[in-house]
Amino acid sequence: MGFWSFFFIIVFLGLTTQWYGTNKALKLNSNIKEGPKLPSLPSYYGANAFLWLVISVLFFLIVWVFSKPHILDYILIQNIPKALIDEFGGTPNMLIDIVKATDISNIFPGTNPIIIENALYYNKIDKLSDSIAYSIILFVGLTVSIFSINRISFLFKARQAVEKTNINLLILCSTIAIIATIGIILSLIFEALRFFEKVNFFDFLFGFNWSPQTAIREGQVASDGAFGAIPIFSGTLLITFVAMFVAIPIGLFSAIYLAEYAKPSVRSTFKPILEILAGVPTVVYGFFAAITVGPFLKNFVGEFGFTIASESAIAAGGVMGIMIIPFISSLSDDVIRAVPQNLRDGSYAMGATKSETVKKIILPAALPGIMGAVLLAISRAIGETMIVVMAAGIAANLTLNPFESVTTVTVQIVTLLVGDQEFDSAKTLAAFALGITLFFATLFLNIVALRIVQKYREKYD
Amino acid sequence: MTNNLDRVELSLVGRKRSERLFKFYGFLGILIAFLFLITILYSVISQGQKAFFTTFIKVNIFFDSEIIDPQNQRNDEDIRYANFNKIITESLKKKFPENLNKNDSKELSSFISNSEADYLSEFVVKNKDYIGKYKNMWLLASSNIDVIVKNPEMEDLDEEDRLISDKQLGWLNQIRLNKELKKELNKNFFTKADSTEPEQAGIWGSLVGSFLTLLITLILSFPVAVAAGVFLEELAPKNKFTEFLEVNINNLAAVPSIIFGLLGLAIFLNIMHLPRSAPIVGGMVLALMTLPTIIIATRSSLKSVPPSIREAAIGLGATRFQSVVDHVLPLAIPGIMTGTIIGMSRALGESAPLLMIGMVAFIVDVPTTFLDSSTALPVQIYLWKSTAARGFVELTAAGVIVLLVFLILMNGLAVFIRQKFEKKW
Amino acid sequence: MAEKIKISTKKVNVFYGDKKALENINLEIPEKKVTSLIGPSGCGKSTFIRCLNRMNDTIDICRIEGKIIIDNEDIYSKEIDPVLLRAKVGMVFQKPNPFPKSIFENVAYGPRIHGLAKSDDELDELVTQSLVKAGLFQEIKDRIHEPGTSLSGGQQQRLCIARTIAISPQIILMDEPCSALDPIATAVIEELIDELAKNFTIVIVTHSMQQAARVSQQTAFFHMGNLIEVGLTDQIFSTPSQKKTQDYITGKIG
Repeated sequence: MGFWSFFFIIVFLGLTTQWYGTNKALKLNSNIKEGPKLPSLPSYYGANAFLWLVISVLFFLIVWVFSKPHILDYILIQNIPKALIDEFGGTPNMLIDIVKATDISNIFPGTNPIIIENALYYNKIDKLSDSIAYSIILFVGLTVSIFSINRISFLFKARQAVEKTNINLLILCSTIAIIATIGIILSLIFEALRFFEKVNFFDFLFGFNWSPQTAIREGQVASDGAFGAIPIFSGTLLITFVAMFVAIPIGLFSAIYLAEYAKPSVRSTFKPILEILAGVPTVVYGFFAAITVGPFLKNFVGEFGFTIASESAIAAGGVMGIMIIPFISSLSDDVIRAVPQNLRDGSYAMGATKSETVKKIILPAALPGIMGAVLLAISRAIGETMIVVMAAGIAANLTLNPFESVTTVTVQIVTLLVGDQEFDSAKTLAAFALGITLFFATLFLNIVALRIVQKYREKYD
Repeated sequence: MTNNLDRVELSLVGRKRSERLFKFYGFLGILIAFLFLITILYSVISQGQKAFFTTFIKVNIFFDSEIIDPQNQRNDEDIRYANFNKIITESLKKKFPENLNKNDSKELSSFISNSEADYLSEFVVKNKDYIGKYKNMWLLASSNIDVIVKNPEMEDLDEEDRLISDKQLGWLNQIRLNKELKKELNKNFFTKADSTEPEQAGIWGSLVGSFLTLLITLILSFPVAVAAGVFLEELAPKNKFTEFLEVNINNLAAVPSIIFGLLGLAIFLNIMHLPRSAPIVGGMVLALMTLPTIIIATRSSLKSVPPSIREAAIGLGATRFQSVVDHVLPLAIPGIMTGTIIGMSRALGESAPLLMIGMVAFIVDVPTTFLDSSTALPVQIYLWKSTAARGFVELTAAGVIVLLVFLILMNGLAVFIRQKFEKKW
Repeated sequence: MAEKIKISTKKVNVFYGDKKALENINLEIPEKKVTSLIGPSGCGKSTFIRCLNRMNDTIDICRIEGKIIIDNEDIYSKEIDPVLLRAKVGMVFQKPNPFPKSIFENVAYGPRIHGLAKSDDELDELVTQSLVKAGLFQEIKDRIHEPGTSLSGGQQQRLCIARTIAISPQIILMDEPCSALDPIATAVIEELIDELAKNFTIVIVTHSMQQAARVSQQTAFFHMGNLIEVGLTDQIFSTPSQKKTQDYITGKIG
């Protein structure tokens, strides 16, 4: 049974169940000439039966989707001769991937016949297991349908049951946010712990030498690679600093202009333009940084006799700053506009000019909110990936010179993981250690920033 | 008293100046941001538009029967295996009467894209009459020639910095003089997937990949997010649990996107054994990222529905749940749609998490199912940017243009829905 | 009235967008006296008082016709700088709005921006004097560097008055200065107004007729954007010449 035939049978079964349940309830009601009828409207009885069918089918379908790869891999590995696995050299999982990737309709000449044979076998068990699973699920669905139709009686309050189920479904959907957070934390912690079995925690956090590539060289013990993350952290901070150096003045002055000076018509033109800057995908900024800004800076700085790395921190950081501008400007704009009008009035009534009012009254009053915005922007900057991957360097240099090339946490995560399928080396696991550092750093910044902004809002609400 | 006013008046000159300066700084801030936007767009469009067209060279092809079908059997299989590269090279040579040595003919043959041999062989299989005859054909130029044609300023570079030799440049100019050069719409770009040769690479494969990925994202995130939004805004009791939920959702919205990629790698790939590089995994990861956006949009558009609607429904004896589903939710749909489209457009531009789950491979086939290996639009841009060959620069920029066009369309749709359907209470 | 006229308005019309808020207001305000503006809410009295120091300039859609003359100068003419005007015509608002700074900084704000004090000592003296004049000094002299927002409502309002008199204006506008205060704080402020009238021309908007009667020498009654009647306070409250004024005073409208 293919997926689509399964799908249509289920849809048919669902509609039939609903129709039958509603009809049964209608019939029960029409038999009553006097006295109380069913406690809920007939359509609820149909809906209840339908709901339970869908829930049970979906549940088993999800279970199947997630367990199928494990089951099939297990069967497949039993079928592959041990000799081939030994001969192959890599892990059995990599061999399984090769078998699965073999396209049996268009076999590449020279493929190992055992692999072809297993690919055909895999194809067979793939289809067979699907058919078996779908049949079982259909059977379960049918049972549930019959059961819930049988339940229709005068004692059964269908509307309450339907609503309770629905609300529970809604709650389930809401908890996905929690599940995702837990998933993130657990997966990061789990892999990071494996990393720290190989590399000392303090060596990672406070080491000055980062050269993970040596760790996977053949014949070398994994922990021989250097995993001191200080140069990476310093690189991240340097680029973030450059970004803030660009974004804070431009963003803040834009916000002041929009909030205090611009006429409504000017405001409604320029605010969306700033928002466009926020909507440009980061990969586009990365392209811009690498193709346009990098070479431009190289020529420009070269005119003055300085040298600058082609993947300099200033190019990546500067473009990241452009990306952050709308972030700072729109948050600061909100914050500035939240400063109560009567403070402005008070200042103007004293004969203060607009700029004096902004500098001496509004900005000090809005400072906590602006600080919050800046913290959020910093958290955004250190988590930003594509710009730095495309425009910053890979080598971990410990430097404060923005004209040199530095690397960042996100760049390292990408370089360590892209293209690498092996999951046991310190090199790949290091990415998770960096990941968890990044996660907690941004989480901390966000929580602090949101606290500050919230306090600020409460003050003036 | 007047003494005081005189002092104020005296101070005014300097104060007025600093007022003007401050206002100017503010305007400068806006202006700089605006100029950045223009610069980015200009740098992308000026380079990218070049990739929409590609160079063709007119060659009088001699379908030499000695090469194609020496046995004169007109067998399809044999024709396919014939050396059409040689046919192209020999035909090119005829353009230049001077004696060419072996190295020269190699340089000459690199004028034409290596895909054209296949094209000619298919052509001959279908039109066997041409064997032994001449035909004027426009053949796709190789990327290096294409780049020089599109960027004439490169001709002035030194030979080693240029992509082609002095000799090749001479030939090129001769071809140009003979008007045997033309630019035409780059069909490969719009219909093919990736390739090692810039002139044969296209955006279509990654576009389909992005589409499949976003479809999964939409299917997974939309119902879940709307359900969560409805629960939190309308039905949830105020307690520790819902508070915790809200904190979680807000934090999830601020988690760096690459972390979601790590989650996908560790859980979807390593624990669940889902296929690498597949749109289904990319879609799942992006769904988690998009979730908070749609939840927040759902909540704010539910919030904007006035309480009188709920009260009216409840007053008629509806349960809370009924009042929400039957009356409040329908009114909130335009806002939810707008938020969803914006969330989707963000997911379309997102690439970092996709790098983590392997959607960053060199893939020459257009994906057809959710389980096929594929890339996504922004990832393709990243891949091309990381490729050394010069011809990919324009291709990268063209990819950016395509991405931006889609984003503009999606955001335009969102604005349209907002203005057309969203009610102001 | 024999006194010198400080402010006089001629045919003043005020519009918010298309809506006319004030129509043809002709009013003369005597120097160093208290003039109160009364009338039901929405009658335009606050709008009017905000015209006198051009606070309405900060509202984009507000448009003013006619002439407002202070000391023989039309304050809406092009040569007049609103900054200079506001240094001359101070204002106290309905809701106390001390800046989120210390008490000292609140009062020092005006002198600082206008450059009125040549030295720190002079500034200290000016701030102290202003606080004394506003009757606040005794209460807060020990905590002059605490935030202005930590004071009680009445003290905050007196702080705002101190802040205003620190730049020695000639006119002080008060827009319902006591409406957010309790009766005791109100009494203190009213006493202060009496005291201030010796040195300043005061225009006060109030919704309380008793207050108008207590503090002012002249009263103007506004209704629906029109100036209905103006005269000596005693006269207005005892023998109003207009029926509308009579109705308002006796509580028939309002």
